[in-house]
Amino acid sequence: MNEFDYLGEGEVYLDSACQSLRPKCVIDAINQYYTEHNSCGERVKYKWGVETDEKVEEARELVLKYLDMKPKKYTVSFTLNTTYGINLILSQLKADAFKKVMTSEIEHNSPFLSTMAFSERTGLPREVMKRNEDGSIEASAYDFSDAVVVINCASNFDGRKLLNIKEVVKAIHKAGGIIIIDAAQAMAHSSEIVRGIEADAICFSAHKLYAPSLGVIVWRDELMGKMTNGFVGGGMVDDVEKDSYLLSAESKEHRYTRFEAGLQAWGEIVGLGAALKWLMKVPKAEWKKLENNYTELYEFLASSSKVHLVNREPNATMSFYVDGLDSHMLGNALSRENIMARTGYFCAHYYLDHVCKYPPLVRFSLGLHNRPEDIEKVKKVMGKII
Amino acid sequence: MVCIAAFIILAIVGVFVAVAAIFKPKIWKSYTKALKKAWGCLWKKVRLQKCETGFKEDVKNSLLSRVMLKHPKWVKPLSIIIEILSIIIVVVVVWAILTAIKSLLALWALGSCNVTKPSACSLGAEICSIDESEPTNVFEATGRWFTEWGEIFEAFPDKFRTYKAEDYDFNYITINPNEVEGLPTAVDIFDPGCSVCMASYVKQKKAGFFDDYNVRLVPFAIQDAEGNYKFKNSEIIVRYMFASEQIRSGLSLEIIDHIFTGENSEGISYQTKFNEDYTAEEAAKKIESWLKKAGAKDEEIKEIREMINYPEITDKMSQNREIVENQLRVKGIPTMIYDGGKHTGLWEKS
Repeated sequence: MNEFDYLGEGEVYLDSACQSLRPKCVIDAINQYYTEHNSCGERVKYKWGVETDEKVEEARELVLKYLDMKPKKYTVSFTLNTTYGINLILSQLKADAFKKVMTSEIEHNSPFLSTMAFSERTGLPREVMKRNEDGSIEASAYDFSDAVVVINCASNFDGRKLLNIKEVVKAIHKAGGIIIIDAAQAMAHSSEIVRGIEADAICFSAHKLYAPSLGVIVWRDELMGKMTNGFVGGGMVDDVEKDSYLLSAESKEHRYTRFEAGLQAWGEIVGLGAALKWLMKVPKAEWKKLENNYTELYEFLASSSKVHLVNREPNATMSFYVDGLDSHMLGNALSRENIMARTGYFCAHYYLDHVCKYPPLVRFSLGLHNRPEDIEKVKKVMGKII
Repeated sequence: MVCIAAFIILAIVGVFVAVAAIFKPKIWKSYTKALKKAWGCLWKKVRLQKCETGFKEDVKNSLLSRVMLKHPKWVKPLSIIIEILSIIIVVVVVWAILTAIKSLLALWALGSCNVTKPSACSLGAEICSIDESEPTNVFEATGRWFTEWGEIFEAFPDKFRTYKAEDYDFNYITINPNEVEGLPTAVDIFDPGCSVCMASYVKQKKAGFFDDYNVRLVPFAIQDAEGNYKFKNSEIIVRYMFASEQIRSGLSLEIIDHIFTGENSEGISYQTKFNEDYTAEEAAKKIESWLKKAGAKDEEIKEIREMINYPEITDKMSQNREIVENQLRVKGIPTMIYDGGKHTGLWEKS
């Protein structure tokens, strides 16, 4: 794609699950913010500020549009990343409104650890649910009564999706629980899984979505009633007296401020808007090319008896280990050939290390920037090694 | 294991880096960064925690990732070799550190950094060592290594105790036949064949030590674990000393004085002659000639010659050995007890 033509000859980036490469239009948008209207958003009246406000507002609208969610019900707040988003919610949820906290075994440490911390803080029991091999959950097997459920809708090591997400969300709500979805890995290439889902909150990272480093919380307005004010400060209030304050988030118009303490990363938010606009216009042929690329690479790896794939099926994100080869060493060797891939447990230690007992893995995560020649090169180098 | 080895290697290399850093400060920065990482990994390992992407991977990966691309089949054997090498490095370095600590403790507690063979320690005082038998195999050596620790720790309390010459029931010869009342008592354990004992004796004599103390000379012929004497004629000299002292008090001093201070017509000290030249018969003959010169009659000399083989003399020597080696845990002589302390090595006037 022309948007990534800054990539050097022979450089193969396979770590989109960590952070995707940014298309030129996103880089241009950020540059434009810094060079043409660098200003504090949502608090200044001068020309540059007004322009920033417009773009930030547009970015919030684009997030909801991308997720097919209704602005009347949902609010978009910005933060640092998915982990931060989930923690911001969990750390402020009222303990007496819930009976337990639940997560699943295949989670990234982001939900896995934050639910532990929530359990420690509130004294509520924590339950770790099993996920089927296809990523779904046996919703009927669990009691979601007044539960806080934090789970992903796509895994970060093999891309498996929460296929019965609608059923799960419905069951949780029916039992009086709430669900926070970690959509970090779904947003770029599998957003259909989370579109229109009536979750109580969806957290994701813009930097896995071809946008700059930024966290996003899309949350249902009702959630505010279940929260205490635990993280407050600048940009959040309409009035302050000696011992009290009036949160701006009380009004729908400024509800997003509930999670936006202090100045935000305005340039990054502007960049997110540009990324979403670009993403929504990516031609079908490019998506097809991505699918072809990862399918080809998956099939190549699957064809080797020495390669043990975690994936059950092709996905833009695939993890594996090679018999007799240390994955970190393999990653290092690939790096020497300008192939950038992640190694280790990808912050999913519990499942990959303790449940599955895998050795450290190599992860290839592809993106729209990958070219067919990238795949050829990886196949060639990997073929030589294994 | 690799990270522990790496940490040790880095610590050693650190000395050289510190010198290099004087000229190129950047080297120091990158070195300390690596050292911190290695230490972090080591600390985790020590607490039985995982060190997934620690220093170990960095070291091995940088070494083997090039090989992986060119000769993938070499990676596994090379990886095993690196692991084995690192284990060897760790074992050797840990052993070296422990041995160094043991040697320092032994030097402090026993006066010699080598417990089994004190003469092999150049850091200790100048002595004639009382060596134990050398281990003959690995198992013995390992066992000895551990028992030496025990010996060192056992000797710790001795460093803090007060020694009194009168407390030990030695068979001795007095320099002053009638000990002078009021003078402090000193015990001097010596081997007639030991050159350091000789030097010590000469120094004491010159400095008037024998006038300031009631000195009790304890003749002691150093033996190894197999019963062999360190100096070939020491046994016969000691026997003659004890026997002649029984005939006449002070007679034995003539023997030791000649050995320690006398020399033959060629200017060779008698100690050297006794140690290197004289046979047992020649040694006995020489001693008897000194006794005669000192006024011993022929029948007295004849009696002495008979007495040297009496069990009574052997018992005296055995009793002294028990006190020296087991009660005092002496690793070398001359050893003296005076002024509340035990002093091993060449005597120096304080």
